[in-house]
Amino acid sequence: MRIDVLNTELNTGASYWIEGDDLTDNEISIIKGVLRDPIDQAILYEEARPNFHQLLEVSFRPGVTDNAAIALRTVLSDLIPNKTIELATGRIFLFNQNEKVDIDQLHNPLIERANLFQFHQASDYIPSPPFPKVELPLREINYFNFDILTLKELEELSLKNVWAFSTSELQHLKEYFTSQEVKNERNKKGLSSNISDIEVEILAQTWSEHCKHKIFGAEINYTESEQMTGKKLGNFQVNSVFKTHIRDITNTIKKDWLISVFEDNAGIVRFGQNNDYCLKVETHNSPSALDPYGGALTGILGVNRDILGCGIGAEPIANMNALCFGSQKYTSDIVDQLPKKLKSPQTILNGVHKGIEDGGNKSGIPTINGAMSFHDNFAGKPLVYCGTVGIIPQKINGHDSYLKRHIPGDIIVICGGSVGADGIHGATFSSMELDDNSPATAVQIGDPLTQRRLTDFLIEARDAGLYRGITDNGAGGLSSSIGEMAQKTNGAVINLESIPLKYPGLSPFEIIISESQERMSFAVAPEKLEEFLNLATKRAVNPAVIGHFHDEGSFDIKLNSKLVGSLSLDYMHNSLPPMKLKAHYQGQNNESTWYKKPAIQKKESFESIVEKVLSNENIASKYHLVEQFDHEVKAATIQKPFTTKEKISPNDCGVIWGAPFGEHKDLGVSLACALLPHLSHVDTYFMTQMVIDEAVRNLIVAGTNPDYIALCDNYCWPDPIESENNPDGAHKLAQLVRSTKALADTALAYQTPFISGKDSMKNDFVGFRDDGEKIKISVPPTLLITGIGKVNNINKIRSSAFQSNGDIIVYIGPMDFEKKYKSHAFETSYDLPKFDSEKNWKIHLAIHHLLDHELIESIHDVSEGGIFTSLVESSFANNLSFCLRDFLNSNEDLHAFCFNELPAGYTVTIKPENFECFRSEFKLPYRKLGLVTSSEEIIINEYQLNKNHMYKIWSQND
Amino acid sequence: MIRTLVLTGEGINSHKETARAFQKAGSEVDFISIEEFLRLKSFDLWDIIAFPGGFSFGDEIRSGKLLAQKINLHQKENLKKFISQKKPIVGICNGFQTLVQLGVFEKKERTITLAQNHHNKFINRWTKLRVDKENKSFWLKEIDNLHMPVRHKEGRLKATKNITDFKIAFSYDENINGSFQNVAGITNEEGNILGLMPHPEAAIDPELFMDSHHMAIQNLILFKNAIEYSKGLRNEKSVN
Repeated sequence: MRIDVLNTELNTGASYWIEGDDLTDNEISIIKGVLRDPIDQAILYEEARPNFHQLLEVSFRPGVTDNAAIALRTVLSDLIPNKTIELATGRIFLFNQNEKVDIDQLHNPLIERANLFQFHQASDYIPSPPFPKVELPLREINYFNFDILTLKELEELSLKNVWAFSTSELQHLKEYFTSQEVKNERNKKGLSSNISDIEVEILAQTWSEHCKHKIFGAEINYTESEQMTGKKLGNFQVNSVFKTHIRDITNTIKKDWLISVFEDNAGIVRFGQNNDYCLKVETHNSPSALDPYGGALTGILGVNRDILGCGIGAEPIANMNALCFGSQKYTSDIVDQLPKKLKSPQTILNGVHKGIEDGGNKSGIPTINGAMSFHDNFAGKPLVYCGTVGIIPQKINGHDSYLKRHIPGDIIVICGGSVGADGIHGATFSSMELDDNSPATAVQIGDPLTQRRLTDFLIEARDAGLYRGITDNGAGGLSSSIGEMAQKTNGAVINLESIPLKYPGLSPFEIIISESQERMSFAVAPEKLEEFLNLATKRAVNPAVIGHFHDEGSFDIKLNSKLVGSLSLDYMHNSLPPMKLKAHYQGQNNESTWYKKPAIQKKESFESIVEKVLSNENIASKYHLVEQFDHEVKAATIQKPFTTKEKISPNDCGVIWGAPFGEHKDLGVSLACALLPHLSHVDTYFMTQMVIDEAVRNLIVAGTNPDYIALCDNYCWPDPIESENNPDGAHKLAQLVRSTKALADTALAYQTPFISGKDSMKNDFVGFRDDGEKIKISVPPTLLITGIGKVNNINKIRSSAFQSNGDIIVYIGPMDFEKKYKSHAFETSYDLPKFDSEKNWKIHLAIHHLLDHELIESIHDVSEGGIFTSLVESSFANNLSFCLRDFLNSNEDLHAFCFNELPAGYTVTIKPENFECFRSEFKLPYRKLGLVTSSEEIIINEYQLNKNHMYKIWSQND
Repeated sequence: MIRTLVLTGEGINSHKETARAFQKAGSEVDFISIEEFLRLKSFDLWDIIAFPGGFSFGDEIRSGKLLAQKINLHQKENLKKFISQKKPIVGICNGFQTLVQLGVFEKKERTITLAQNHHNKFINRWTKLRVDKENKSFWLKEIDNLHMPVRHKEGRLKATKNITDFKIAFSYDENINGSFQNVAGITNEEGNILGLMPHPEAAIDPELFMDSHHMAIQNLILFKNAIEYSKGLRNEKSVN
C-alpha cells in the first residue's frame, strides 16, 4: 500500500510504502492518523484533489538508511502490535503542466531514485511503484592462493576489490602467506593455506592510509631547491613526521594537564577540578563529495562517536566544523567547465550545511565554533572537518576514566544500528583518488536518533560500571575497532553469524568491514553481561553478543562455530615496514586553478578595495549559515559564534561554561580553529606558522590562559606520492614536511602541545570534461589547527564588539606594515613577512595580561582582510563606527596598513580612563589608531565610508 | 518539596537544562525516560510535568507527533487526570510540539498546529517576547518582557479558527517565523498548560546573556511561578 501525504500549503509531501499482513480498515485509518496532521496536511486523493499534471517521486535506493521509516516503525509496532509492518518513505513534488522539473536538483542518484509521472489530469496518476527491498545474491567466502597468484594478478585484484594495497604491500603479503611457518601455523588451527577474502579485507582496512597513516610514518628524504624563497630548512632525513614533528614535540613540552595524547580515539586534557575534556577532529571529504548531506552528517556523528569511545566513554558537549568549498560565485559558464559527475560547489555547500545542521541539532550538541574557506581548487573535492569536545568525570566508580580496562575473557557486545552493505570500503576508498566510478556503497546516511539513544545508554551503563572497555566502529568497521581493542588483551574472536544485519545476502567479509553507522563496541565482564544486556534492551539500542577477547595473539573470525580466518595481531599491526619516500621542495609555485581566470584589474581606489574585501566570500558574513546550527543547546555556551545586538559581529572563539557540568562557576573551556589554504602555494612552512598563530590568537581573545592551550592538527593534502599520474608528488610531500616542521618549531616556541590529529592524503579528483579532456583538481595543501584552552574566569571574556562611543582603538602586533604579501585584497604575491615566534608569543602573553586585568573593552584578531576588516566587523554589533586619523608613519602605505594579513595582530578598544593604566602596563609596541564613534561614517584619514553601506556589503548573503 | 517530572530519552536533548531551571527555582526533579513514562501507573507522585526540547523520535513524520501518538496510546487517562487536577504542565520547543500534537490545548478537535517556519530554516536566535496581559495564567504572574533564544525549524503556529480554545501567552517582538499573530507561546484556557517555542531554560543564568543580565531573573520567575502555584495546590488539597 502506498499513502501520499500532501502538505496543503506547498505542492510537496511525503509518501509512505506500507506492507503488512491483512491490515484491517481500522488499522489503516490508525496509520493514516499518524501520518498526517489534520491542520495542514491531507491524504492525496482521499482528502485533497489538487490539480497537477506532473508528480516527481523520490525515494531511497534499497538499503539506504531511511530514518523516517525507522522512527515510524517504533510507533506503529506499538499502535498495531502482533503485525509485522514493513515501511519505506519518500518525497513527492507536484508540478503543473508546463513547469520545468529539475530532477537532478531534487535528488541524489547515488542514494535515491526519482520517477517523474506525467499525465493529462491529476486523477490519471496511480501510485503503485514496488516496495523498495534489498535483494542481494547469497555470497560465499572467496579464497586466494598466494602461491600461485603473481604480483601482477594481485595488483589487478587489489584494484578490482578496492583493497588499495601498494605493490610493496602485496609483496609483503605474498612473502608472509607463502612462508612455511605461516602455513604450518594455519594448518594447526585447521585453516586452509589459501587466504580468505575476510582476512585479506581485514588487512586492507588495517593497512589503509586512512587507518595506518603510512605517509606520516614514512622515512622521508627531504631536499630543497637552491632557488627557493621562504625559510631554508636544508636537506635532511626524517623518520616519521608524526613521531618527530608532532608526538616528540608534545613529549618535550610536557604539560602536567595532559592526560592522554595520541593513544585513544581523542586527546584528553585536565582543565577542571572534576572533569577532563577531550578533543577530536576528523575529516569526511570523499563521502561529502559523493553525497554532501550524508557525508557531512556521518562526519559529525562519526566524530561524536570518537568521543563516546574515548577513555571509558565521554559525553560530547560541543561541536565545531571547518568547511572548504569551491567558490559559490561561479557563473554558469565556469560551472559548465566542471566534469559532469561533479556536483556544483553550491550543491555541495547546501548538502554539507544541512548535514552539519542535522548532525549537531538532532544530537543535542551545540555547534560553537567553525570556519569556512572558499578556493577554486576545492571544486573537485570539498573538505569537511568535524570536531567534537567531550567531557568525562576524572574518576568513575573509583577508576581513572581515561583508561580502558578490558581483560581476556571479556565479552564483546555491539550496540546501535545493524550492518548493511552501506559503508563498505570507506577506509580504503578514501585512501584513493576520487573518480567517476567511485563506489556508491561508500556513501551512507547517518541516524542521529539511534546515536542519541546510544549516547544516553552509554553514559548510564558507564556510570553503573557495566562495561570495562569501549570503542567506536568507524573506518574499517569491526575489523578495525575490535582489531585495535584486541591489542590490549592480545587477542579476540568474533562470531560472524551473531552480528545483526539489516538484510540477508551480505558476504562474510562485508559484515566485518562494513562501516554501517551508529555502532559502538563494548567489552563486558561476564558477570555483568546480563545486567548490561537488560539495560541495553530497555534503552532500545539493539545489543548483540558477538565474541570475546582472549590472549592468544590472534584476531579470529568464526562462522557458525567454524574458524574461517585468523590473523596474528603482531603481523596486522607491527609488521609493515615504513614507506621510503623522496621529498623535494621546488620553492614557491604560482597558484594554478582548474579554470581560466579573467585578468585582474590593478590600481584600484580605496573604496573599491574596501568593497572587494568585505564582499570576498572568505570574509563576508556567514551568519545566515551559522544561525541554522544550534549553538546553545545544553545552556552552557558562554561565548557564541556571533555577538548579535543591533547588528551582528563575528566572534573568534567559542567558550563552554563549566558550571552546568559541575565545575567551578568561573571555569570555561574555549575552542577555536584556523586554516589558511590560500597561503600554501607561497610556502607551507609559513602557512603553518600563520595557522597555529591564528588558532592560538582566537583562543587568547576569549581570555584563554596561555599556559593551558592544546592543539589538534588535521592535514588534508593532495596526493604526495610521486607517480606517473602524479608528477609533482615529491614537491607536495616536501610541502608536507615543511608544514610539519613548522608545526614542531612553532608549537615549541608557543609551548602548545598536540593532543590529537588526523591526516587525509588523497584529496584529488580525476575525471573528464564533456569534450573528453582529462581534468585533475587537487585541493590546496590544507592544515586545520583546532585549539582547546582553559578560561580561568569567564566573567573576563570580552567579545569582538565595540562597546562605547569614545573608546580608544589600539592595534597590537608586529609593526612591519611596509612589507606587502598575499592578502585577499591584492591577488599578487609579495615578499613574505617575517614570522618571529618568540616575539609573537610575547604579544599573546601581553594580551592575556590586559584581559586578565580587565583593561580591554573589545578584542578581535587581525586575519583575512587585515586591520580594516577586524575593525569594521567589531563596529557592527552595537551599531558604532570609528574614526582613524594620522596613524601612519611616513614610510607606510595606507592600503598595506589596512589590508595586509600580518601574523600575531589584534585590534582592541580601551576606555579613555583606562588608557594611562594601559600605557604603563603594556611594554610592547602598539599603535593608537583612533576612536570608536557613534557617527554614520567610518573615517580613515581622508576617506569616508558609510557604515550601513559597509554592513550591507559584508552581510549581503544573510 | 515540589516534584517535577522531566521527560528524557528517544531524542529529547534539553532535559538537563530544563531540570536545572526547575531545581534553581526550588523544585526537586525526577528524570523519567519515555519508555518508563509510558508504563507509569499514575502521575500522582508529581506536581509538575515538563516536556523538554529536542528531537523526539528524530522529528520524523512531524515534530512531536510520534511521541504524542505513544502517549495517547498508553497514558491518555493519566494525562487527562493530571490536567483536570489543574497541575502545571510545560512543553518547551519539541515539548510544545508534542503538546500540540496531543491536542491538550483544544476542547474538542485540533485547531492548531506548529508548521515549518515561513523561511523553511532552522534558526538559533535571541528574541524578545511580550507577555499577553490578558492571560491570567499563574505561569505568567509578575512577568513583564522576556529575552531568550529560539532554536527551531517547525515553530510557526497555525490556527484554523479564531482563538477560542487557547490563550496567547507570549508573542515575538518581530516576525521571526511567520507565526500566527507572532505567537511564541500559549496556554490552555484554564492556564495550567504552557507551551512555548523559545527556550527559557537556556536563559536563567546571567552568564549566558550577551547583555541585560537582569533579564535572566525574569526567565527564572516563570519556573518559580509554577512551583509557587503547586505549593498552593498542595495546601488546598490538604485543607480539603
